[in-house]
Amino acid sequence: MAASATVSSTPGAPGSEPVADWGVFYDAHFDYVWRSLRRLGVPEAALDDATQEVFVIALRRHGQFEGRSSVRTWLFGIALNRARELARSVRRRAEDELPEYLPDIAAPDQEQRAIDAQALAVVYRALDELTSDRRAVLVMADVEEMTASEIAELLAIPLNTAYSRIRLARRDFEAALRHCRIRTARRIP
Amino acid sequence: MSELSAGARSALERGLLCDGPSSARRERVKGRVLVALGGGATAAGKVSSVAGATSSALSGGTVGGALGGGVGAKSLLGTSLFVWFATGIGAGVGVGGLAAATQRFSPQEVRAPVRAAPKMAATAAPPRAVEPAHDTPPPVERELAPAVDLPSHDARLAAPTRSVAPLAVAPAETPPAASADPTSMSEEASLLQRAQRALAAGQAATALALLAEHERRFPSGVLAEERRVAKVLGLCALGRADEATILARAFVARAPRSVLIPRLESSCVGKTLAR
Repeated sequence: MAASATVSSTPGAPGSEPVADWGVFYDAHFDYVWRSLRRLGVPEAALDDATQEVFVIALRRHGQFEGRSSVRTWLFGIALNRARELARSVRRRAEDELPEYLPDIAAPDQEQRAIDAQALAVVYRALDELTSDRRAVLVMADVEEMTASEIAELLAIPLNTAYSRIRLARRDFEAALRHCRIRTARRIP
Repeated sequence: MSELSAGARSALERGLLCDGPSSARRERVKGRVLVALGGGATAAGKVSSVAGATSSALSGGTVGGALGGGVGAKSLLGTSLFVWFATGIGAGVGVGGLAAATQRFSPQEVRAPVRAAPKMAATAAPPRAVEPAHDTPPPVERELAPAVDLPSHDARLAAPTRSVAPLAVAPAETPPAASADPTSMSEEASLLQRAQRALAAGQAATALALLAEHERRFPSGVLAEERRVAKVLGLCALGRADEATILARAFVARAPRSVLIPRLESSCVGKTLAR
């Protein structure tokens, strides 16, 4: 698996089947790219632009996709790079500017919407407490269920380093989750 | 390597269960991608057609120009795209990459999405009919009309970010503001791109005429926000700063966290917006 690699057009290889048009490609992957960027910490105000950019890059670079990984993993690599760039250019918000995390799709039932919103907010606030590197690793390992080898290759790090980062990311996430739950519980009378 | 605890995994899975974009957002970004890729390619066009469109644009200028439909660094659509290239993210995306762009992607996946939100498929909005055309009042007055077609996510973005309520709830999803018909979207993107090119070529009056046509044909189009900013820039170019200011203020009031606001701030209305 590689985020960027030489061209290979092995018939039948993963991701090498032709697609009718870019709109099909976009429709097939939009949700995934958008979710990945959000989970990697791209702020709400920059999400649409970042998603747009990932697709423009992907559509321009798709000749470089060699099919050794899934298209999703390849797209994730592009999204990860974009998220990192944004993180460098947009420093962390001030403490009093906590981002608001809401489901983009609201359930029709009000009570269900509230439950969804709270569950989503807890996860995102916990993710926000992680460093960007550990957040990315956590998302890759436990949301995308990438293997340590895949993570190591995507991040261009040794396998043992990947294992170590995964362990630390999980530890930090669990701690952050506990903090977030405590804070949330205190806010609810 | 220790696994994530059962409790943490459960929270993660539950929290992300409803984590996905709305169909309105999907269509809106799709329109932007279409413009960024050249606009001339139909939304249902082949990838190779898209490559052809961008190749043509590349031959006439910078990569940034190609992405912005030839408008280059001043491209309003490319506000972010220009930053993207300026920061080097786009390095390596060039003619060479485009030359190989006749290859196709596959929509099929080797691995299924790990935490696919089950609500996603159920909420995809069906295509809607092309929006009806109607008479064309003066463009400025029309754009000052109340924001009745504000996409749901814009409304949410407009909400204050301080004092986060733990049980805050997003409004129910509204249908896409614009037609999801690919031909309609392509036409909308193409028209906006023509306006952008006219603006970049110093033909502001032509640009405004094209933008008026865009508004008449696609009043609630996925690129309505881009159109409004383009109109401000066109008015600036014609020295009509007062009108531009009125439109710019209306734009900011309507979409206070729009990523296009920096573009307004660097235009003739920048000083008045800052007050």
